[in-house]
Amino acid sequence: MSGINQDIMVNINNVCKSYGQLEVLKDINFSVAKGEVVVICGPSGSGKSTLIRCINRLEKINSGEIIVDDISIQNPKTKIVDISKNIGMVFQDFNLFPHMTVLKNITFAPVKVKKLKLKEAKAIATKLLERVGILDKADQYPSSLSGGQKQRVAIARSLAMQPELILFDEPTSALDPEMVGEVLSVMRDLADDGMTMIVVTHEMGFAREVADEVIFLDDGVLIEKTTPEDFFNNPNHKRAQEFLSQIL
Amino acid sequence: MESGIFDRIIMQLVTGLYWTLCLSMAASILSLIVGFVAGLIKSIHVPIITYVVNFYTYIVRGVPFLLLLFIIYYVLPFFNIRLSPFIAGVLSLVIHEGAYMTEIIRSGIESVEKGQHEAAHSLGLNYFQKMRYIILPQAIKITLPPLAGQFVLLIKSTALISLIGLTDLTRVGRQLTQRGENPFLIFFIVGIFYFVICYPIINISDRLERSV
Amino acid sequence: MNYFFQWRIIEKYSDYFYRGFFNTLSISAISISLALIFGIILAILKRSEIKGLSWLSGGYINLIRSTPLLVQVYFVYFGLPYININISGYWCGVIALVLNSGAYISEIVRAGLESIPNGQVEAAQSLGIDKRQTYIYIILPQALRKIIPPLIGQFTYLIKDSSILAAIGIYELTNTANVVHARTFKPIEPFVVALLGYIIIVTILMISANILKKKFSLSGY
Repeated sequence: MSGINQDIMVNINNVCKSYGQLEVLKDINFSVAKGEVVVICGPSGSGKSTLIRCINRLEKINSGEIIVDDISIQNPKTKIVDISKNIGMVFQDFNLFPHMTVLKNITFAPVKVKKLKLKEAKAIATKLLERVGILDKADQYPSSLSGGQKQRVAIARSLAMQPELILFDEPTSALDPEMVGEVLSVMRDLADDGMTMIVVTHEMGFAREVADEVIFLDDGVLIEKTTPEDFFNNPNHKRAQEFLSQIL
Repeated sequence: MESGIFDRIIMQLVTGLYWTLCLSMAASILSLIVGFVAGLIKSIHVPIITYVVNFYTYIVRGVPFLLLLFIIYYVLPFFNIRLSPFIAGVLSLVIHEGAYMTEIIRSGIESVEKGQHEAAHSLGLNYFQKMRYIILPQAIKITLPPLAGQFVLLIKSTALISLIGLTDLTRVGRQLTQRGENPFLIFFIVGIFYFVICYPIINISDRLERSV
Repeated sequence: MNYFFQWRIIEKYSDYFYRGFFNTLSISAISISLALIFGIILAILKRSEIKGLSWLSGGYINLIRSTPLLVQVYFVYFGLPYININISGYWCGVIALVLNSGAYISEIVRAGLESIPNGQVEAAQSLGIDKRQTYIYIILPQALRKIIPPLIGQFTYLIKDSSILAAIGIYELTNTANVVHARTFKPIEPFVVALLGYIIIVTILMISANILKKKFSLSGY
């Protein structure tokens, strides 16, 4: 029993969420193992962004439970800091801090939250910037970067907190087409290094190549959870078939 | 006491209100004309005239309205030009508010894309036609909210004309307190009078601004 | 028309003008500082989730914006002694200016705070930065840059508005000119001095606002 549990990173049980009358998540159940990459897809308005935002409590759920690394997310006693230390997030609009240099964007949270010394934080940040390939932009402000560069900084920023899990909320949707590749390749490297990732995306190529599992959400209901091969080659449900025929 | 309050205070204030409204109307219309003409001039950059207009708006915007009013009312008689408080009030309001309206009209005209000017030009419209049919209709939409805000400032500024002796709303209020009425009550009621005039305009201005 | 500007009037009353100039500056400086604090409080109240507080603050702001400053000055200056609170005209003037300017400043502050996209707060939260730190390090530095230029604009309005305190006998610049005019029966000289005084202050402020704007736009975003 405990042997299995150790491998489970995220456990989502009977999660429901509504905005007033509108139910956006209906009894969602799934789990993510350590080192796994899960892609969540579905038509717009299907609740996929809401779902991912519930995992680090940017949104509160109405019922059910979400457990990440033995921490109960929905428990009000759980401090947001403890959630954020373990879970990184990459946003569609980057949300870099415009008044801080690239380097400061990355070192800020490790220094303020993890109480790292500035020198240590800088060393980590430098390594990360090298890893995402934009070390030369360290002293620039976000406004002077391209969208793809911004998103790579945002990935480095969340990595600097050394999270166990990273959530990607449509990380390439705000990018010009020619910049999508550079961001996806950074994400692919991360997956190869064994990072646990939950990715909301419309990039089906990425899902096919990198994902261990694909989750298909429609109208707040989890319809399919299967391997990429199964999902793309013989989707079970009509909604998934329609979705794939539109997007591929 | 109960029946008295209406005759004693409200009716008195209404006579003051009359002058506040007259002053506001006259000054609004005239300063809009000044602002419109000067704004047009500023937007087409006629060398010397534009400098004159620039100097006018620069000086006026640096000077308190009350000082301008005192200058008009006290300095002009020195040159044998004697104005009644009402006329002096209208004149200084027009000079002062006209400068602000100039800037509003100018920035409204300049906010219309350059392509619109070029398109109008390429269709062979002359300056008058271009302004009348193409530029101004578009500029008005952008100009209306700040213009409405400026009218409110103008109406509030009329209160200062009471200081050179016009018996407007504010002066009547002051006179009532000099006769021993409760100043809190009087100036609260005076405030309500202004509020009833100004708030609807502010509200419209805010709504227009949000819809632009 | 031959008229010679009589410098000796200005010389003779130079002490008056210095005092007027100084009073205008000191009243304005004190008022803007207090109004800034008051304005921030009003802005926070207006953003409050408690409906009553938000409504109260909004109502106050509308009331101030819809009534003349002179009426507000009278309200304070003649009202307070009526309920046996006796403070000097100078401080009555400061109170009226703070009550007035605070309402306008709160609108500036509110617009500055609202201009910060919610994604900034979410990003900070996802990095484990707590609410207080988010306010201090993420929201305020960004909001401040947006607030400072219009705040300087508001300061120039306040300096000009302080002339209204002439109505309650404060010896600021405009009233000083009026007093010298009454003593000498020469209107031109004192009013020209006052006029230049205001233009100098306002010009300095306008230039510094422009320098700040440039500095901000150079510093990266």
